[in-house]
Amino acid sequence: MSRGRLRQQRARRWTLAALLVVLVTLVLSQTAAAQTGSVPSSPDAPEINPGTPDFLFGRPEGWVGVRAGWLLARSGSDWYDFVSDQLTIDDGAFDTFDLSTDVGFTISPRFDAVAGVAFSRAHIPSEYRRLVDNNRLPINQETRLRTVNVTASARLALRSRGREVSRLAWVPNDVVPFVGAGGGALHYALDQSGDFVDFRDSRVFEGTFRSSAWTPSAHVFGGVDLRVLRRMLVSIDGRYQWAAGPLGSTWVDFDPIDLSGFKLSAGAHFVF
Amino acid sequence: MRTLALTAMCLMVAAHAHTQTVIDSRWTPFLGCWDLVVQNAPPTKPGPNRRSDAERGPTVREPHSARVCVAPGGAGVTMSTTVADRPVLVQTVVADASDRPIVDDTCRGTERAEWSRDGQRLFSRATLSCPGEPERSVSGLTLLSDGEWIDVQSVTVASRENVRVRRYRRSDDQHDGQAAGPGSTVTARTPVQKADSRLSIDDVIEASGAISAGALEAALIESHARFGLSGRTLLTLDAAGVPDSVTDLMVALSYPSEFVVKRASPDDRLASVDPYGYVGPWGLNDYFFGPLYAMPYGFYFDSGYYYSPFGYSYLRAYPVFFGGGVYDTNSGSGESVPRETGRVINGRGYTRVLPIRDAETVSANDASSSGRRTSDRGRATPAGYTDTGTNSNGSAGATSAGGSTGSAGSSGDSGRTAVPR
Repeated sequence: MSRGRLRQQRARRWTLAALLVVLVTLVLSQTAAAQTGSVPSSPDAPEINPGTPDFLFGRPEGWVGVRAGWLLARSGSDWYDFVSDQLTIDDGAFDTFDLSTDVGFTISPRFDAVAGVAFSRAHIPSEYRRLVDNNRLPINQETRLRTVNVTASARLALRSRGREVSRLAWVPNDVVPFVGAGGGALHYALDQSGDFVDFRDSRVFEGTFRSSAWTPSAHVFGGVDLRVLRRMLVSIDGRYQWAAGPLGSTWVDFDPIDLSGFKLSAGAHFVF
Repeated sequence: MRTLALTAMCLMVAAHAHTQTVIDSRWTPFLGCWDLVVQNAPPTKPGPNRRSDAERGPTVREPHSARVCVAPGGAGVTMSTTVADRPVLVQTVVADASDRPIVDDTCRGTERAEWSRDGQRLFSRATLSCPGEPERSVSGLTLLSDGEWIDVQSVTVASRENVRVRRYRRSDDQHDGQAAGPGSTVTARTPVQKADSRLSIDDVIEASGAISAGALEAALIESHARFGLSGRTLLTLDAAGVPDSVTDLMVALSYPSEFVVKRASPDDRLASVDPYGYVGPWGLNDYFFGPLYAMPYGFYFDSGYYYSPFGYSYLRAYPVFFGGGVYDTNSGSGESVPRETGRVINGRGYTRVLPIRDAETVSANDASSSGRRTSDRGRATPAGYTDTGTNSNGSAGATSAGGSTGSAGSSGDSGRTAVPR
């Protein structure tokens, strides 16, 4: 499969995923807006024994959460082309599990300032695509790519997150779509180890190729918070991040490694 | 003759029965004599699961305390107030939801009384304008709770609201079946309230449209109201226009594990009496003891001393009603040590509920890859990998952009060579 075709497939995949997130966000936003005006005409709650309320004793000041998801790496730089050409590293090989943790602070009824850290790690075993050793055995190696992305974001709720009925009563909305954007610093660590073939004399050697660096990143995101408990939300988040890190001196004449990609995750947020 | 006598007797019985039925049955629980309740012991520290306002000292009737006797009268009832057994005020209250004029030599106004939808509470309103004085508006709520008659009155003068609460208890010397008043045929000792006389959410919504927020708040406290609140009911309250301060109080009362609602004065009943000597039976303040309208009328028509909103002694009983600060909300333990679940600052209002929370810190791992560098003997170029450590041909190409770290290691010649598949 040609590199150009692979890139086209990746681009199509990201586009579809992004459209899906946007569509879901808009649908939920409309649904939530329709719910906003519906105020019950008569209270049904019992008159005694309140138990644990389903509202909060005041507007939340923030939240902390953890999300797990899947990173669809764009893999758009020539380094990926190189390794996928030489080694049995196929399209999507760098798609990987992603873990994020965020803490948000309420700036205004609809705005949050969010700080977060996201971790991802891809581990790809491979062998030479077109070469074997003189014993007809595959020439194996492993590629590891780890990223840590420290971010700061502004998060806008597309509908009010709740209603402050009084100073001691804040009634949260069950469904709150959101969008946001931000930036940060991404650290990547690339590690390729195993057996390699010296392109000059076809000799097989055991080697390790590493590179790591910090690089700026940017991201946009959208999603929805679904309230499941009084202080607990399930948050579905789709985001696209841009980053490209310079490769170390081990990697000669390569463009910066593309660390961009689309990330779809879900997790729990706890408001405080 | 015998038939005639029977007919006459039937007519008399019917007339008698008619006399009874013309009395608004909603007044029935109030008929009879009531003593003003005065506390003589300061509240003790509440237990861990008790609201502090539930802790009260024993109640006694002071020697010169007031007594109110309610008897049917006309379309309503007549309330006769005595202090030290001397009559000080007689008034007629008709709860027909119609405005009635108040006419004095110099002042003009209207009064109005009406029952709640379920007939359990009586709302009262009055306005009065006197020359050279700001208009006064009075709203009140009368209800029976736990066998006591609770009368709440709010007086607003120049946008300042003062709330007073009085509590009456059945006179001890009143016997069951005793007539409520001269010529009355109504039994005084009747069931005074329905099984659960606590205010419901619907009651609060109704009352919020009939009386002032301050009066309603005092009624909630005095009747030990508690509600099953949910987000839905809160939205209903909000949509119904219930004042925020009332909603706050409902929340505080309904969650005693989170809030404690306190009066500002240890003796809230009549703390005003002693400090100012208003209890004197012949003073103008005798009006103070009458339940419905007694205070407002006395308030209106007596000396100018009363016109000062802060001159009233009862302001000392509920000082926190001024300025929007209504209640102290402390920890559920009942101790006076405030917890972070909420506070109300006297004269300033509630602070936002601040649940205890641990500071969240986000620590970003420094994912530096230092220390993992190996001997720099390998390279990779777009043409392929090369071992710079064991091959004397040297490295290929130039290094990439700076700012990154890179390394390669190789372990020497394995004797293997690559061939096409």
